[in-house]
Amino acid sequence: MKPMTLDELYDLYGDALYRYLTLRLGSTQDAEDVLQETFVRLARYGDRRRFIRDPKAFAFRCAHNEAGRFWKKRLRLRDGEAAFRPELVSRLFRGPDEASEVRLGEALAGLSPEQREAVVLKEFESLTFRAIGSVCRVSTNTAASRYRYGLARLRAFFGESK
Amino acid sequence: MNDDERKISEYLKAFAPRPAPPELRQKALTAAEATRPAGRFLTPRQWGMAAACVLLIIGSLAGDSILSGRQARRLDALLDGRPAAVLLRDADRSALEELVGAQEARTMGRLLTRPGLVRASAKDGWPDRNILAFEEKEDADVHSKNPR
Repeated sequence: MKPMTLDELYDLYGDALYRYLTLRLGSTQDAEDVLQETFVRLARYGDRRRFIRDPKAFAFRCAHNEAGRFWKKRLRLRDGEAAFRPELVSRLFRGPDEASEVRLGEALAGLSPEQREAVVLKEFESLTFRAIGSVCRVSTNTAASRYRYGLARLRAFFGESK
Repeated sequence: MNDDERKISEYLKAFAPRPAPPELRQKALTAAEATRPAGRFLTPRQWGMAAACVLLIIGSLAGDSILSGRQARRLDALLDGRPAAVLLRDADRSALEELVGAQEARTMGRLLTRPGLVRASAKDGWPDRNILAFEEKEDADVHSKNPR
């Protein structure tokens, strides 16, 4: 089986990875840097990419790992800072109106990082629970329960704000 | 998934993803192409691990030969400087002489070290007539050298 080329990988998952990294890192500039690192990492796999069964989950996992490395490096230089920035949501997703985009950002800010990651990957990037578990290095059940807890919190948020 | 969760899920689906900045594609792919090793099968870390394994194997083989050589020299030193292998061979011969007598032991030694007989034995599977013929020839040689 011929491995997917980097161009194909980018065309299929590049935008999704950029959104995921921006939400995770809280900065479009950092997301661009980490996305480049992710593709450098994918390039290093070379011919071994043919053995990858789920390229989408693999690409997201690479991005997840690169984001972790980026944070480790950054935390050595500067003290930790809040990763998620709700105002970035409107730059990544187009809602019915501007107010709903702002509300979505606020709702996602109310989730824990793990829940937010599971909800974003499931709802916006259409990953399966199994793939989410692979990306986050947790079991499928844990990924599903994170997603469900996240949805429950979102429901509570939208219920209160109505 | 209950109704509330389904409603939230449907609500979230109303948000359409925006594309990434168009120039990012070129930047990411250029960076990846610049570092792509042509035809490389192992990552640098895997190459490092493979090199470490090879060094360990070579080191263990070298260490084994050094240790066994040292052990042999210690044994030789314990045996008054005579090589342990020679001493063992002499010990075997003297034990054989004690068992079957000096003359028989010498004959057996010659018998076992004679290449022609060994070749013939390997071919014919140690037939008694070969050994008997050899012994008769040896007796004849001894008698011709030492006539009474």
